[in-house]
Amino acid sequence: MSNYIAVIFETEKKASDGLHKLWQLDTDGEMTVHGAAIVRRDDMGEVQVSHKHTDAGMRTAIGVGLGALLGAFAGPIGVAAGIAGAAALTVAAGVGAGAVAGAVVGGAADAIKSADRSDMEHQPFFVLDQGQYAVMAEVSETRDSALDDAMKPLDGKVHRRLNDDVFTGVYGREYYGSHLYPCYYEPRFM
Amino acid sequence: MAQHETTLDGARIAAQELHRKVMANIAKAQAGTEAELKIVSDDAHKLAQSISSEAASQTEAVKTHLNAAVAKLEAAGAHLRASADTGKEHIKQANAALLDGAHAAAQSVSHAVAILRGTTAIQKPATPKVIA
Repeated sequence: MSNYIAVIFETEKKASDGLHKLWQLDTDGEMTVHGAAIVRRDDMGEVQVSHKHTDAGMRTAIGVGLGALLGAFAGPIGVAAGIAGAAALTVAAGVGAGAVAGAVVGGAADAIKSADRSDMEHQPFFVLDQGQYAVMAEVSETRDSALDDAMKPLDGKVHRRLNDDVFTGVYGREYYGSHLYPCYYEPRFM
Repeated sequence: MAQHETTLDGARIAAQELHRKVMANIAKAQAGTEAELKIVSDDAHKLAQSISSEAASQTEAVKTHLNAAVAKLEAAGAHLRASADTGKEHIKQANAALLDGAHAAAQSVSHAVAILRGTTAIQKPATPKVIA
């Protein structure tokens, strides 16, 4: 059984280091990374996905899929937003579709934050604040502490969601993973 | 590290490398050629054969993931053979099919590797705690 993880960072540098560290853990056999990518929420509230400089053909699909994954991490409201984001893909073939999905998810996150901020720290979901970065990944862990210990020096906060039928019920088990890079890449934001 | 784990790790790296190659070809857009497409297509075919061979000696759980990887790679190859088109649009569509195949194959093999790593971790004796 695998987990989806989101590790939150305050800077792009730390997020990049976090992604590198994640794949290093895989190389060392401490865990298995099935796919990973970095997203950031910019100062306008939109969620953007870092990408390889060569991935022109994939960027839109990755943006929409990870927008949905972020929404799923954000709880029931976010899941609904993720659905809206994915629906946008079917009608918007342009490059902006990923940003549309991200913006919707960001809006949902704000709704949760303003309504229930005091309880947020005790919930298994999170809000990606403006200016923050998240390393999103699907992983198989043999022990939780390997990831937690590796991200601690980078001030990365680890969130997990089991890749089970409940979590993936909306899109199916393979949906989110298909939007993550299956190998390490040097992240870059446009 | 067990032999199967080593072999599967190699297959996984090959699938990841195939993904990178297809991405590079897609990035060339209009400059992509049929010759480059054939190279990655041949790589995909060889990888499918290699994974298929490896699957035969694996447990059912691992085999399921490996067979899924083979199916995806073969589907990408079939897409190429079925298309009578040539030219830039053909290259574009073929690369998209190959990317999908390489992506899915890399992740399926990754899940197979995770099962083997998990098994190895369980079989390893616990490290004795040193009590001061």
